Amino acid sequence: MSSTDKIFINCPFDNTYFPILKSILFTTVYLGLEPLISETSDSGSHRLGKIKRLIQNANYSIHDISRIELNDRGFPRFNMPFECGVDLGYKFFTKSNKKKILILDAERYRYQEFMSDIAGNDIKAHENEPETAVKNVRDWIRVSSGKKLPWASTIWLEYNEFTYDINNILESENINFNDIGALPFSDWIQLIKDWVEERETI
Amino acid sequence: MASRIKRSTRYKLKEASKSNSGRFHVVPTSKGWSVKKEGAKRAISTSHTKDSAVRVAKARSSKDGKIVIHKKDGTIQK
Repeated sequence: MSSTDKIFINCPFDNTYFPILKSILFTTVYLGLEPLISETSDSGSHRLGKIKRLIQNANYSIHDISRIELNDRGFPRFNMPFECGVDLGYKFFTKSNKKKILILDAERYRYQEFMSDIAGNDIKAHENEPETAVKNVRDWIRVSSGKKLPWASTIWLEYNEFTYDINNILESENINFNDIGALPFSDWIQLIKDWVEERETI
Repeated sequence: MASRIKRSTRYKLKEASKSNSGRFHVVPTSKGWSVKKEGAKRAISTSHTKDSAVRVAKARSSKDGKIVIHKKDGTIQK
């Protein structure tokens, strides 16, 4: 990994998923990557144009396709699988060796029932557990980058200490750490960076 | 989107990151309940039950040392 490696994260944006997203964001920053999320890009431009730029700018991508439940009107969310397809298409048609893609679902092999064409890619199940998501992401970056990295168990313990620190500080300012809408993503990412960069372990 | 965090918030978080307050964290892991001293990279022990891990943390912490119990979703037990 170089210091400028970016990682595009395409996932559900709601409070149910937020514990997983926070653990993934922390893991990527802890391992020296710059997370890119659609909300962190400049506003005012076409949504698909933004996604295209994020995909082009990131050597790494994580696509979480776990949100397949139907909404109140009986429709699933197609955005995550769609953006995953755009990214796989980019990798395929540009023949990019640099592009590494991890696809996450909640259950192992479930994708075979609704998106079987993605077979053969890096697909992992996080079982809706943040600790498992940390391990999925860390192990995939380890293999993709070929670099020696901290163990997933170390990152998980560090993440828990981070959550204690940030919870205390945000609570005192009436900001809810468990509310995905409490801060823009760029702020969440900045706070993780601040904590990780100043970290002094004993 | 404009930032909503104050400079002082970031400063407090950076200071917290460096702190070694003597707190012990009891953290659920895939192997059981780990006890970690604040600021340490590795757990000092892993127990099968939360109660057992809390006992370890209490034994290792100083008289006034705080114990923080974490939940599987990354939040803190109040």
